[in-house]
Amino acid sequence: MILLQQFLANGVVVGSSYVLVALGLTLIFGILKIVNFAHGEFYMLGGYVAVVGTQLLGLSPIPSIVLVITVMAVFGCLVERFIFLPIGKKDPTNVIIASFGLSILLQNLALKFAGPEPMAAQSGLPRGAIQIGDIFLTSERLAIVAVAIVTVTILLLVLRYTWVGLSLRAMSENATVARICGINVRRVGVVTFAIGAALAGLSGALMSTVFTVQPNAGSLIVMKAFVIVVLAGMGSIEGAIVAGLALGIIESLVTGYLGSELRDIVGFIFVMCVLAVRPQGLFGIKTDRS
Amino acid sequence: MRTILLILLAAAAFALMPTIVGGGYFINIAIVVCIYIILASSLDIVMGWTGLYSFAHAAFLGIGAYTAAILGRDFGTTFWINLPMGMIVAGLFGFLLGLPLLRAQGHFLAIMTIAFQTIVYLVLSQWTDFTGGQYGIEVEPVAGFTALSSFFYLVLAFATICLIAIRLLTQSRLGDSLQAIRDDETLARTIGINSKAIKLVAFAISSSFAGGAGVLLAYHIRGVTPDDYTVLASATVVAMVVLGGRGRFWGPVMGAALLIVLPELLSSLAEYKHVFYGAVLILVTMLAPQGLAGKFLEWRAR
Amino acid sequence: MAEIIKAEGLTKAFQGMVALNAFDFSVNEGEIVGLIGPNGSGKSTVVNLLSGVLAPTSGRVLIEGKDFSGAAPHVVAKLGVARTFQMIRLFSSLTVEQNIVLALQEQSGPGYFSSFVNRRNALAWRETASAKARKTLALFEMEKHAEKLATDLSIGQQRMVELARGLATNPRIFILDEPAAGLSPINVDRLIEMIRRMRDEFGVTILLVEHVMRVVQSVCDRVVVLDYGQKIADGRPDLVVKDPKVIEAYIGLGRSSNA
Repeated sequence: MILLQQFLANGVVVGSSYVLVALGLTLIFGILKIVNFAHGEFYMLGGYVAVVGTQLLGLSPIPSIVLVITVMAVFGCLVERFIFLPIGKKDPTNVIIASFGLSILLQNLALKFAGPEPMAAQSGLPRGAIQIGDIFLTSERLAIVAVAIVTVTILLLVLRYTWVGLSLRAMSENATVARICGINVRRVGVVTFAIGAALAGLSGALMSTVFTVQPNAGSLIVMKAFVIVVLAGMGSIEGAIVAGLALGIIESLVTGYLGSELRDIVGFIFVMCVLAVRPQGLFGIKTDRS
Repeated sequence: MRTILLILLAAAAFALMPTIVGGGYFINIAIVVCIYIILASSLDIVMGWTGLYSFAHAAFLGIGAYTAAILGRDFGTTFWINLPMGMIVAGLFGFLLGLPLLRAQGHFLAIMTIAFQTIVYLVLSQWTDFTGGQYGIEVEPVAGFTALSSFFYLVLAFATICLIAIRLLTQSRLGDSLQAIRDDETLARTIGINSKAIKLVAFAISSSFAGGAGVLLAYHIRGVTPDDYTVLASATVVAMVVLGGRGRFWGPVMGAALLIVLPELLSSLAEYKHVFYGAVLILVTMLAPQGLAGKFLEWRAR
Repeated sequence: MAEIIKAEGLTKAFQGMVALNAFDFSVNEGEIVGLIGPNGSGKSTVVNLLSGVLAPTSGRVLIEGKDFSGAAPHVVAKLGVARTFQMIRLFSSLTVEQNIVLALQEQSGPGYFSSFVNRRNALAWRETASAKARKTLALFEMEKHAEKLATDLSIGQQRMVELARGLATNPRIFILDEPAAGLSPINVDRLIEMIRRMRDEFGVTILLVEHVMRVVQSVCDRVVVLDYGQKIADGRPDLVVKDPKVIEAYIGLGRSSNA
């Protein structure tokens, strides 16, 4: 029983990081209808920025987080402007391949410049575990959950109550009508990528304090993010939150009771089974083409 | 017909290489080029002809390779049994994967192929008892073909046969149906094409060829390890197809040759090989989505 | 007279919205039957159900007496049901002639394996098929466009190619889904002429779904009227248009069709 609680708690920690990454992907896919395979590299780069920030620049936690969010948001804008926009204009179907190429490019650049050894960021938080009831969590892990909660809350508020948020939601419903209503589609594109990249980067930064970061950290994460987004129904924010936490918890339970070899596989097998039965995802709508 | 003759001619010319250039280094590259030509051309059946995305090609490469390695290890079978077995097993997996996969459209399909590729990699590296885990399995060289140049002729012969087969396939009714499905699947179905079955067959055939290439690779590097069969390897093949030009016969062949040879020529680039592949994918989709073959045909039409 | 196609109690519901409700109707050999109705009445749904693109929620589709409800489009096509689409569908990477040859290949071409191993046979068949395609194109005065990419033609020409594609396969029934849509008056005249010729010279049975009343009244032996997924009339064109129920259906929504 106690073990179960600990597994659940660990699951929530990992699940929180998944939620952040998946939310970024949901926004980019739901609003811009772009499948971005390089999303995992946003996560990876965020981790490295955190390493640079805390180790090289000696920044304390909050400024590091600000640094990560800023750098990744800018990076997201650049990627959108110079890669996804031109290719999307010419032929949207090639965007998948280009994003695949970007993923390979970034992974291997990281490999060249940072080397294959995992690196950790310093959290600057007090060492040692904190006890809540029967479970033990290090301050870093708690921080992950806390930051995630704060971020998601801010995001939901922004989406619901600000003009930017409304524009994003309008775009995701019907881009043509949104355009006619005067929404600046270009700006929506840039903002979406900025937010998406920042969320993923933040997740990577937080996780780099606990689990370290390495060049291929993104490849597994992006697949899990896609699993979550697919299960949630592409474009569903609430679904992404639920599914992200669920995946984290399921993985934790599988690791705890069945061993860690199965951890990464379980999500993929699950999503392949779901897609085999429901090709449109759990919450998606079947399109009858006629 | 003309293309078949060209293939045979090119193969014959290529066959002269060891006598002209000699040296293990070049023959090694030549062998790898042949293997990747098989990979790229077979992937094009799915990507160029059927119009689907598959980032799982290296998974079938791996399945073929490991089938050969495991059969050799556990049953002592020779290359001549392992090669067809590798192709059959890979083709079977292609068929089984295709059943759920091909019901998905566009984006989902792409994601599923990467998921499958990742699963295969994870299984190969984690199921240590069966696959040897990260250490892999050793493979004995082919009896009677232990000399590098003789193995090269073997690989060249197989590659030539594969290319001819692929050419005949795409020129046959299968190619016509695939093209129709790519253009407009609903229309194809209403004129009588069983698109689901055809896509499945194309996918299985493509995977089978990849499996064959995997067997050759296993015998070439004398072993199988999981890290040779990752998403990265799939990306390499995708880059070759996209660079060379999807749906055009010589496109993938050119793409494969270029992306293997270029990094070797520019030796400083060889280290950044994978960075290069990524950049190629981005640049080609941005500047020349039709690939080199497409650009060439455009230029000739002027 | 043989019933080529018959719908029995055919119903189709989309997530709570009933597009077609207990629809009974049949088309006999050699007839030209028209299917009309205001926008949203379910005409396209009928076409999609009969051609296998959609599966019925309940009810049956019988083709030459056999139950093929819910059969896939390619199965239905092999039974001799040809159709055109409201939004013209042609293979964009193929020439006009290749479009037709492809349809012929599905009806009478060599098998997949045979075309792979016996190239000479396959090429010979293709020669024959090309000749037949060109002959059919000539009927529609499209022969000179045979080598052009199908999508390089004008709308009127593309429509003729679609008709040629269907006719070339000697269908048991040819379903035309709003063929006059987007055509100029001259091309509508040509359309009427070609529909008549297809039946008179080739004995093709035709189901014509149309908005343009001029076409319906010129060629149809019988007209079936749909409104909100229900059949409200079935009879001679000149009588049906005077039927008060039919007039109500159209006027009730505001004038929605004019020839």
